Amino acid sequence: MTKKIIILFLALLFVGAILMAGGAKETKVEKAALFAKMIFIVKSMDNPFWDSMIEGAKEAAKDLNIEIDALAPIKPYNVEEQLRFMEEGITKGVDAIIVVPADSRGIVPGIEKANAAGIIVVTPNTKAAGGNVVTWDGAANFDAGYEVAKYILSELGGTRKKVIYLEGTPGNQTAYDRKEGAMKAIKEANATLLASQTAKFSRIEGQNVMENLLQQFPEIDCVITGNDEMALGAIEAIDATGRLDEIKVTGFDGNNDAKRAIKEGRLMVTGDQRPDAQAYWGVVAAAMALKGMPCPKEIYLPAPLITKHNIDQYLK
Amino acid sequence: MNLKNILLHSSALAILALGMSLVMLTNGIDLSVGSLVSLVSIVTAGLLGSKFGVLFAIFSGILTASFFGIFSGIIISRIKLPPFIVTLGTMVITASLALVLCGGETLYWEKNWFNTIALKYFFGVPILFCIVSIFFILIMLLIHYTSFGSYIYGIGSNEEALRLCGVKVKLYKTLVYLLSGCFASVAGIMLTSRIASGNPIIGMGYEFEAIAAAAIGGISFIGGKGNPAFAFLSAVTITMLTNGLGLMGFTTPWQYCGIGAILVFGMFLNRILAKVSLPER
Amino acid sequence: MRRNDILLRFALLIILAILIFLVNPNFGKPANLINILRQGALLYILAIGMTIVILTGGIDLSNGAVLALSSCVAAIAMERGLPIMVGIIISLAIGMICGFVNGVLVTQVKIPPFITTFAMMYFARGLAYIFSHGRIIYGFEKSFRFIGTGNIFGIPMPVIFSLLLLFIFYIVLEYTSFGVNIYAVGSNSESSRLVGINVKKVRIIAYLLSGFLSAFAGLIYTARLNAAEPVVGASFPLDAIAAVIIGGTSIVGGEGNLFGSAIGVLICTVIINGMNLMGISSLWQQFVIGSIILIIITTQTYTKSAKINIPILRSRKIESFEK
Repeated sequence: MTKKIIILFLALLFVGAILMAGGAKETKVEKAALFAKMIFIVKSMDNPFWDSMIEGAKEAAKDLNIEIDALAPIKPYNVEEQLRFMEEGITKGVDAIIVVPADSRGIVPGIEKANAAGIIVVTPNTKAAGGNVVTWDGAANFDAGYEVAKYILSELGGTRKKVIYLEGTPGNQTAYDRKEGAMKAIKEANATLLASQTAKFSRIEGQNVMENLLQQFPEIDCVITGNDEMALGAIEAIDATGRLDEIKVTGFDGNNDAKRAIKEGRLMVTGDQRPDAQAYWGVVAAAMALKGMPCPKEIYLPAPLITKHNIDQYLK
Repeated sequence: MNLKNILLHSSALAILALGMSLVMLTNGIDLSVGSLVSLVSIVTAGLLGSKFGVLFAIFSGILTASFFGIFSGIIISRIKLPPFIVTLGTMVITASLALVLCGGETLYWEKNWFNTIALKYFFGVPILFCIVSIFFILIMLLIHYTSFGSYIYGIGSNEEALRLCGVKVKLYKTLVYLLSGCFASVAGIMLTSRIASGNPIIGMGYEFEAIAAAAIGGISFIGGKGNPAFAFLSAVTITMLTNGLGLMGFTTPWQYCGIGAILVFGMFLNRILAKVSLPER
Repeated sequence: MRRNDILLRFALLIILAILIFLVNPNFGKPANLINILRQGALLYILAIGMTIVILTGGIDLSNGAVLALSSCVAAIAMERGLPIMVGIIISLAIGMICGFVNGVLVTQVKIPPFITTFAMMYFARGLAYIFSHGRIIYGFEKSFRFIGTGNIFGIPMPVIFSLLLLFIFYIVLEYTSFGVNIYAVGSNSESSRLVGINVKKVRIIAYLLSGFLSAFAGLIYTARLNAAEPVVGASFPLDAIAAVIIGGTSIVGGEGNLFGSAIGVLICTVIINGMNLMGISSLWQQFVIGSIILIIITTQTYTKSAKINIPILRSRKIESFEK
């Protein structure tokens, strides 16, 4: 019986391998006339942000006649799975790898492998801490976090400076950078940080944590958050106690939902990251590098603040 | 899709499945392995970052996970608490510890030979998989040629009888959890070397994957039945199939559905085979 | 589940509450206590389903994903202009279908509950993404939002719902033959079968109820947050399991009750609330909850063994959740 099971497993293995090999070949044959072949790896699928990014990359690929495979780790923000995709891409022989590192350090071995294989690497949105990357493009999370916090603190004026910060998922690079940026602004403005708690980038957590904090602090002037999801959750919590007039909330990312909240005056400001633009730039940079054209090492995309003053131009 | 990559990618899950299958053979379960992987990653990277020797860092990583393995094992065997609950406890505790120790930030160190463990190949086989294979062979020897091996099956099928025969059941049960912890630390060290940094969430979800791999490999949830070799094989197969889904061009939502289908189908196959007959070991 | 087990847990809850209150008096504000109840309500509705499944000797890892799927589909239906009632019915139906599939796979195909529901978790999550295209569906009518945000006599609707469900399911478990069967199947499925209980049917219904309750929690979640998203609830299964275990339900089935789970949920919620109020880094939350699990289960074993003969307990623990 042992044999039977072994044979079955091996059969399964072979069938799988053949299927995959077949799948890979098919796509090759179909799109032989393309300019280049790339893979595009995002951090996770747990936020509409990544969907917009993939859309941007696909749009660019269509415009530039590039074949692009969009991939995302099954386990959110798992850098090891990203490495797997990169390695598969290298053996498959793609021309360029565009990866949004889930972790700046963890992605480095993958980039080094790609470098050794002579494959171009571009990292939109999040910088990698090493390896030879052609271009990074995006709004620096640190800077943008800083700008948002600075805006809300100056908007509040000199006297009202009691701040709560809602952090993203612990262990997440983006969460860390945005928090550090906001902390810098808070320090510069001499504001008081009442509490800094994680709400794991999630709306329900944002609501729960905010409900708890509202009990603790009778006076809160503003809530700075690491993304729009948490901000909107916090707004629901604050609104339920009727304190939304006194407590100002900031978001980050510029989701559609958040834009609408700004229009309604519930959310004060959010950083518009334009994920699709970041991805588009990434593909363009990779394509240019493939043609041997020079590319800037860093492309800073403006992350304009969306506020009530300019919200109308975003809502079409 | 090539064999080198499959072996490289499945190393961590394979060794975790191996440890998990031993635990499950004793009618236990170990939910803490995923968190232990994260904790070991942080401990090892933290020590490397503070300029300790590589061997010392590796050793400390193994020691950390072994400590929690023994901890779970002792509570399970001495106080006789259900393994599910105890390891759930250690799971959340170690997950939290990993985050607390690094403050939610990834840790790194200056490059040294530790980084190259994950990069080198031995006659075309990734070193990581070689390490896993060594453990695999050791476990096979343990299962087939030592009394400890028979006791593992014995504890799973009839613990009370074994105890009455004068076998130190408590000791062996603790040892099994220790082994599982050790294997988690090996997986943690391998992943740390792979991502060249210490990551507090790198092991998230591995516990369930390891359990699924072991179960699909024919290890019974009530213990005493199954062969770790198949758990090992099924870990490799599952990794290959799930990775393959993405590379075949399925979008992430369809990959999720695909994984669900693979799990159910694998278990279904297993059930059909079980009806035919199950190997003794 | 013996009375002193519940008392032990209740005592722990009170001690925790008093400790937090002494450190931070804001904890005792009525508004904060209502907060705790409201936040616990969502988890509790899931925990009821989890308790029933665990009582039959199973486990349900899919409740978070089923919650996401059902709430997304209901939200899409309402977005397309279908009446609220239709949306609610669709959502509950989807929850029940997922639960039913779980139950059938567990009982008929004999796939262990752990694997079945783990697979269902992936499957439902995938479908949730596919239906919603990964976007967040937001903005619902006031009348729908009432079930999540409304108050009756100052008591939030989620709390009322969870109390109502507690009442209904308490009656079902304690006073109906179905309830008795659930306990019987959990403590010994083979002898239950021999005395003529339709074990498979009981199990399928248990998973179906868990699916139903997940969908119900999903509706309240959607109404409370004014948004439905496919990513919600990845941590719900473990949160619910932890609460149920802290509540004293035996993981191998046949022992435990809904009051215990209610206290378990409250303990978890109070800890998180207290840590938020005291400004303790949330990185420690899991640590505290894990320690509480270990401490309370260990204490329970010792208080039990102080009175009751141990061998009886041992014979019970031989069973596992694959039967």
